[in-house]
This record gives sequence, structure tokens and C-alpha cells, in this order.
Amino acid sequence: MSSNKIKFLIAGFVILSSFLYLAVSGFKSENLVYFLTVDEVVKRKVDSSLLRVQGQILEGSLKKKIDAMQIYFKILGKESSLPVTYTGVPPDLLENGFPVIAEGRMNSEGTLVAHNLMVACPSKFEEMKEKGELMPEDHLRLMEKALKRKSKEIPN
Amino acid sequence: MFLIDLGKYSIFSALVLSVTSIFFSFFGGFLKNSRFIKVGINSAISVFVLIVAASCSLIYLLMVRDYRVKYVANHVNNSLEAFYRFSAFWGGQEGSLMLWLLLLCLYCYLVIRQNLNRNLDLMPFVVGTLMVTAFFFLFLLNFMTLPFDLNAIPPVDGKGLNPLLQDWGMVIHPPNLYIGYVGYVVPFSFCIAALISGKLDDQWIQTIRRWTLFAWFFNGTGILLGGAWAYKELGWGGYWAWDPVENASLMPWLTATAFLHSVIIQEKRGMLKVWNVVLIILTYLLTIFGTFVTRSGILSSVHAFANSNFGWVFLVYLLFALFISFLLVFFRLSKLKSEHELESFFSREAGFLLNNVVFVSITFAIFWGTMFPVVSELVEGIKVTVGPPFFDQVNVPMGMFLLLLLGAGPLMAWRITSVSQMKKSFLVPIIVGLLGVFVLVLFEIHHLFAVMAFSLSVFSISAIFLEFYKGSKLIKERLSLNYMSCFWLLTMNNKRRFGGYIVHLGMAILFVGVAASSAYQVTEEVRLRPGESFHVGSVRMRYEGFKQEISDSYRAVRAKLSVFNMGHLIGTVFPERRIYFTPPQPTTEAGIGRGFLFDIYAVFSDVDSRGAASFKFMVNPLLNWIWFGGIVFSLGSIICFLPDRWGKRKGEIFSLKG
Amino acid sequence: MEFISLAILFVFFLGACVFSFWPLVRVSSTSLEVNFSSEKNQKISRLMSERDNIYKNILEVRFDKAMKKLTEDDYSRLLNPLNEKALNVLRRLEALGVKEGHPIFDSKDRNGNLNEDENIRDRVEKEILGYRKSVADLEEKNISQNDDINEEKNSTVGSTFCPTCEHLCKIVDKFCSNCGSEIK
Repeated sequence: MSSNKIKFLIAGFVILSSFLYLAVSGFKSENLVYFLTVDEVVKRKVDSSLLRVQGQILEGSLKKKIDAMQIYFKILGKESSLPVTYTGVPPDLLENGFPVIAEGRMNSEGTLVAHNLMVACPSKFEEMKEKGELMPEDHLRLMEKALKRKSKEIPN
Repeated sequence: MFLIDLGKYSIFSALVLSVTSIFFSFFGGFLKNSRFIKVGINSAISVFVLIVAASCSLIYLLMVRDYRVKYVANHVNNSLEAFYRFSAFWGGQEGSLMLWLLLLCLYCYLVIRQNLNRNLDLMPFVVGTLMVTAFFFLFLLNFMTLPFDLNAIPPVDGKGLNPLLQDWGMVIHPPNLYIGYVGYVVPFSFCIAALISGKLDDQWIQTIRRWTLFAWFFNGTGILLGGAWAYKELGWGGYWAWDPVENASLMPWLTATAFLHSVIIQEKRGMLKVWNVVLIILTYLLTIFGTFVTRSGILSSVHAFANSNFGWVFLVYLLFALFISFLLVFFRLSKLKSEHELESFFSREAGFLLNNVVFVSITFAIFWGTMFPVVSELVEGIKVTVGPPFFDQVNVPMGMFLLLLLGAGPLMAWRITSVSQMKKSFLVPIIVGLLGVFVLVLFEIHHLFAVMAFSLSVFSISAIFLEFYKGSKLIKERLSLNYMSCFWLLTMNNKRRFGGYIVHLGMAILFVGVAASSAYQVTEEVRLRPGESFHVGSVRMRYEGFKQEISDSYRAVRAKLSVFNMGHLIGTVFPERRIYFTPPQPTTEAGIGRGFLFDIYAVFSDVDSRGAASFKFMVNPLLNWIWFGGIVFSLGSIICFLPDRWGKRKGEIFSLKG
Repeated sequence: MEFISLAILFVFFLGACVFSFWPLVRVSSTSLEVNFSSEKNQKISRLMSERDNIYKNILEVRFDKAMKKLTEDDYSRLLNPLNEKALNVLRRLEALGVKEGHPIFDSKDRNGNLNEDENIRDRVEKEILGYRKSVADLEEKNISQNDDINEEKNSTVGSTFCPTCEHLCKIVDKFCSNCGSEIK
């Protein structure tokens, strides 16, 4: 009986340690996404880790190449700004002055190549306003403008 | 005003009565005083009635759009249809907590009705524990987040429901999930009651088996519905993103699955008693944790409700429940001794045990990945999040293991399976599995995990079919009926076992869909002018044009795309963009062409004055298998849940000597 | 108007409280006590469900055998302990005054549906009783051969139940042979 027990203990140990190994080895830095501010990103050494940056689009910096589906803009930090490129279908309501969340890696020229771009959700910002947190002052006005432009864009 | 008062005072008196119920139930239970116990039970019933009254008044206020109430003003508006006004009951934080409580009290009432005579010695503690949970939620609703809070000046129009949530899938998904979530409280209460009273025989396990199955079924289908909704509405072509809230709903399901398996070992062999108790407690704690994660805002998530300030209350309650439960387990350890020991690796017990280890490991991996951001911010001050690659990397190998067990488990016999016996029963499924690998390699599919998943699924499916075939044949020999009715008899006479196999079948099918759609998804983004075509994988998409639509609550642009496969028109998809008026928000309605072999998924982003439009196209192979597997899974669980006696005829065949 | 609505609310909440506390003040409590079955009946119903569970397990083992999942050897190795267990439960039921095969609650529980389930149960029970007889025969043989074994096996005479695990033990024993806890 006891030799049986030892066998099971060993088997259990092997199984558990292999699962533990899986869980620990999954925690490589490329599986983590770092949340950073614009200033932190600009100061940071360029490496291959995945970054998520949140900030407002610098007024007048947004350029769209519609046919190549490329977008270029800068996100504003406190002291510096970060250039971002994105290829693909742009998210809804992407406008100058909008708060965005960009996720991607830095390239050697110091540009964030985003593979994921989100406009911070309007309802989130309403909550922020209610709580008196910092938010783009004329966010709603901007959004209305964007909506108007959007509906103009659609030919009748 | 009457209804607002009714609601407000109902939840307050419910709070008071829940305290009396806790007090009288526990004291009555300890002193064996039947009057006290009765008071505890009656108070619990009163709490149920009061919560029903409060819920009804909140629903009524939502239906008539009484904007004096903050909750109403925040979650409905003038243009919202009645159906969505009703669903706003669980659309916001306060309402969803109310729904939690309502279900909890309903279950409490049902438990009282069911068990008052059967489990009288357990009942006071069961009711007491249920009411402790109810008290916690009542505390939140009375002091932390008030559903009947009033606006100083009632607004003219409400804020309305997030348009993403204006979909029937999203309307039934939360209550579906909650029915399951709250259901886990009942097994937990019985477990605590058994621990307190020391009556730790099989009686309580049998009483809660069905409750656990019920909760587990709704939890599972809730997760599936959530995935189906995300796929249809969110427009990124996937159904699962390892988001904290999704993880939170998956974790109790995993531990409950583990419990449903290991409880069979306890019933059959009297083993793993401590383990089962721990699994129930874990499931309960994970449920509370899940409810907490959705509301606390400690984890960023697309699903999260507003960041709220009562996270600490949840934390305190979680720690309290954790401490008390494990203290009780510790004191009763001597009564939870195993009656047998594991004898062989090749027995069904060992299979179940292994399955438990895997399920719990997956749960821990998910928990660790979900909580890591919090830990890292506290310890290192670095804000990070753990991406899907981590979860895939950890869970895919473990999932493969489960997939193997899915088929291998049913083939093994209790206690011991001798080697010659193993060879006999494993031969056919292994051959079929290898055949599957061969076919895949023939079709030049080399993705390691996809091939593994497919062949293991094929192995499991054939093993399960073999089991059904053998059983049916046995009946056929005895009763000479046709195979269909033999199959029916077999399943109906042993619902738990063969219903369980059907669940396994569903899961195997689901795994095939998951593996194929994640390994071989093709994504293309392109800008097209009307009349232009584009190839995605083997499919050609032709952009025909677009159309505008205006409804009461949104304006929309809808594109028309024809889908060709090998030169034949196989369908048309209509991806759509909507811009809602209140709250002003654009949404994406993906155009999905569903098929047996692949789904076409088209997202339409914008269109310029010349009619040129940007699209994102995806081909998701075998994605429909996921939903089909889900349906099979549901069927199987329903069969397990049916009363034992249903459809049972000619039962004697099983008692004949072999 | 305000007054009427307040009055209605008050009556509603008062009603809830009265309903809750009614059992404390009620003079006659006979109707209360009826629900609370005696310790003994509870014990019996527990044993009944345990017995049904064991029967189910026995049936499943037989089914596995019939499906050729078990060798003859494994089969008897699995079945015998189950029979033993069933026997133990039946003896305990007997000790509580329940006659074999005539469960006192069953007719209440399954009104109308007595036929099939009862049928299977009866058959299993008969077989178990057969098993019991064979065990008893064996014991009798052993009496003449070995007194020690006799004492070990002949458990119906002077037996009691372990207070912890409810295993059948002999009165003369100080500790339970199953779980090791003290027998009072």
C-alpha cells in the first residue's frame, strides 16, 4: 500500500510541477502589457515589450491616408508627445483632441506602432465627469462635432 | 412616491428580518428549539416577499420612466422600448445586485419548500447561511449603493441604455449567468450546514448534487451566450478575450465542474471528502469574487460597471467567508476521512482525480493571470495587464489534457482497469484518433495544437460513441428493440452517466471549433469601391453598395457584400454601422455569414462620398461548431438534470447478472 | 392620500414581522412539532438513501460487467465490498426496527410509481440477502474452525454503531475498527 502511495505522490508531484512550470513560464515579459504614460514611454529605453498608452490626440496632428488605411497622430503627455502609427480600420470617432488608448510596440524611430487602437469609451468619460475627475473639457462638444461630420460623410 | 417608499423600506425591513433570521436559525439549530427554527424560516420567507416587492417596484418605476429615481434616470430614456426598459433592471449596478438578491431569496424559499421535512437537522443552518449572504447584499443595497436614491431635480429625459447592450443576447445573458452564479450559494449553504452539524454523510451531497448541476448549467450557458453576444456585437471577430470579467465567470464554472466529477467518487467510493467540501467553498468564494471584480474597478475591463467605492466591503466579506469556512473544515477533518485509497492509475477514480487537478490548476492559472495586475501594482508599482497570450500558453496544453480525459475517462472502470482490458477498450478510439491526424496531414494542416486538439477530440468522440454503442447493444441483446429505442432506454435509465457523456461529446465538438477558429482565422482589412472584389482565404467578397436607414433611436449605414466560394454565390452579408442618438455612440453590427465549415465575418467601418468603404473581413473556420457543441452540452446537462424516474421503463435489464 | 399610502406600507411591514415571529407566540405548537420528525426517523431516512445509493452502485458495476469493461476478477473485487456495505446498512436498518424490503417512507415518497424502482430494489435486496446467507454459512463453518475469526465476523451479536462513522462494531470493543474513534 505504501509503495502505491509513494507512486501516487510522485505522479501528483510531477503533474503539479509541470502545471506550475506552465504557469510560471507563461509570465514572460512579452505576454505582459505595460500601462505607461506618454512621458514614461518617451523616456524609456526602446525595447520590444508591449505597451499600452493612454492620452489625448494632439490638436492638428491626426493624418489619415484613407486608401492605404494608415493613420498617424501624436498623443499628448504632460511634457512630451508620442508619435503613433496605426494601420487598419480606424476606430469610431477618431478625432483631434480625443482621448485614445493605443496598444503596440515601439520601433527604432521612437514611434509607437499600434496594433490596437481604441477611443476611450464616451460613457466612461461621463462617469469621470460626474466624479469630477480630469477629462477633456469639451469632450462632448467634440463628440457632437464628430458625429455631425460622420453623418455628413454619409451621402444621402 | 408610494412605490419608491415601498422599495426603500422593503429593503430596509428585509435587512432587519435577515438579521433575525440568521439569529434565530443558528440559535434554533444549536439549541434544537423548533420554535426558534420556525421563526428563522418564516423570517427568511418574509425577506423573500419583501425583496419581491422591492424588485417589482423598481421594475415598475423603470417601466413608467419615473426619472425622480436616479437609477431610472441613469438607465432608461424616453425612446427606449419596453423590453429594454425591463432589462434595465439588471443593466446597472444597483439593479444587478437586486437581481442577485432576488434570486438568492427565491432559492432560499425553494430550498425551504423542498427540504423542510427531509433535511430538518440541516435546515436551520442552511437558511442561516443563505441569509448571511443575503444580509451582505442587503447591507450593500441599504448603505453603499442605493437603488431608490432620488434626484434633487428630476431630468426631462434619462441617459438611456448603452446601445451595445440593446440586443436580446445581452438582455438574457446577465440573468442567465446570475441564475447560475447565485445557484452556487445553495450547495455552499448545505456544505456549511453539514460542517456545523457534523452530519457529513452522503445525504447533503445528494441533496445538493442537483442544485450544483442546475447552477453549473446556467453558468455554462451564460458564458456561451456571452461569447455569442461578443461575437455578434463587438465586431472584433472573436468570442473570448480573457477579460477579467469573463475570467471571473469561468472560474466558478471550472471548480463546479471539478466538483461535479469528484462528487461521483465520493458517492461511489467514499473518497475525496475534504476535497469536495473545499471545491464547494472555492466555488462560492469565486462567485462572490466574480461579483466583486465586476463592480470594484480594481481591474480594468470592458464589462466593468462604474468604479465604485465599496470594494472593501466585498473584500472584508470574502475574507470572513474564507476564514469561517476553512475553520469549519479544519474542525471537521476527522469526519471527512476517506473510506478507500486510490489503487491504480488506470481506474476511473484516478481519471477523475486527474481531471480535478487539471480543472483546479486551470482555475489557479486564470486567477493568477487575472489578479497579477493588482499584485504587480501593489508590489512593484508597475501597471501591467496580462494579455491573452499568457492564458493561451498556459491553458491550451491543459485543455489538451482535459480533451484526452474527456474520452479516456469513460473508458476506464472503477477501481482498476487491467492492462488487457485497457487495450481492448482503447484500441478503436486510438485508431480513429490517429486516422484523424492522418487526414489532417493529408490536407496539409500542420498547426501543432490544432492537429492535437482535432485528433484528441476525434478520439474522445469515438470513445463516447463506442460506449453508447456497447450499452445499446447490450440492451438490444436482451430486449431486441431497434437501436434508437435502445439508445433512448440506455440514456434514460442512467441519466447521470450517459447524460454526462453527451456533455463530454458537446465539449469535444466545442474544442474542435475553438481550436480551428483560433488557429486558422484569416483577417484582412481593405478599402473597396462599389463593384470591386477581394479575396479572403478561399472566399471572394464583392462590395455591392450601401444603403442608409434611420430608425427612432439610431441612424445606420448598411453595406451589401456578396460572398463567392469557388465561383458560386454562397450568400450575402450586411455589415452595418449605427450611430445612436442617446447616448450618442456609434456601434458596429458585423455582417456574419454562418456556415458549417466556416463563418464569414465582415465589419464595415466608414464610407466616403464616392461610395468607397473600408472593411475588415474574417474567415473563422468551424466557428459554428462552438455553438453546436454548446447546444449538445446543454442537452446533455438537461438529461442529467431530469428526475431519475422519467422515461424509465424496463429497468430490470440492469439488475440481471452479466 | 399620503396617509393612506403610509398606512398600507405600515400594514405590509407589520404583516411581514407578525408572520416571522408568529411561531414564538403561538399557544399550541402541536402543528409545529409534527414537521420535526424524531431523530430516529431521520436516521432511518438517511440509511434508506444510503441503501438506495449502494444499490445504484451495485447496478452500475453489473452494467459495467455486462458491457465487458470488467474482468471476472475485477468484478467480484468491486461487488463484494458493495454487498458488504449494503448488508451493513440493512442490519442497521433492522436494528432501528425497519423490516427488510418494506421501507416505511417509500410508499409516501413515490405514490403511484412504486412499480419499476421497487422492482429493481427488491431484486437487488434479494440477492444481497442471498449473499448474506452465504456469508452466514461461511461464518458458521468458521465457528467450528477458528474462534478468533468467529469473533471478528459474527458482528450481529452484541453489536453497536460507532458514534463517529456509524460503522458496525462490537460492544466489547473500545475503538471503532473503521475510523479508530472511541466507542462509548
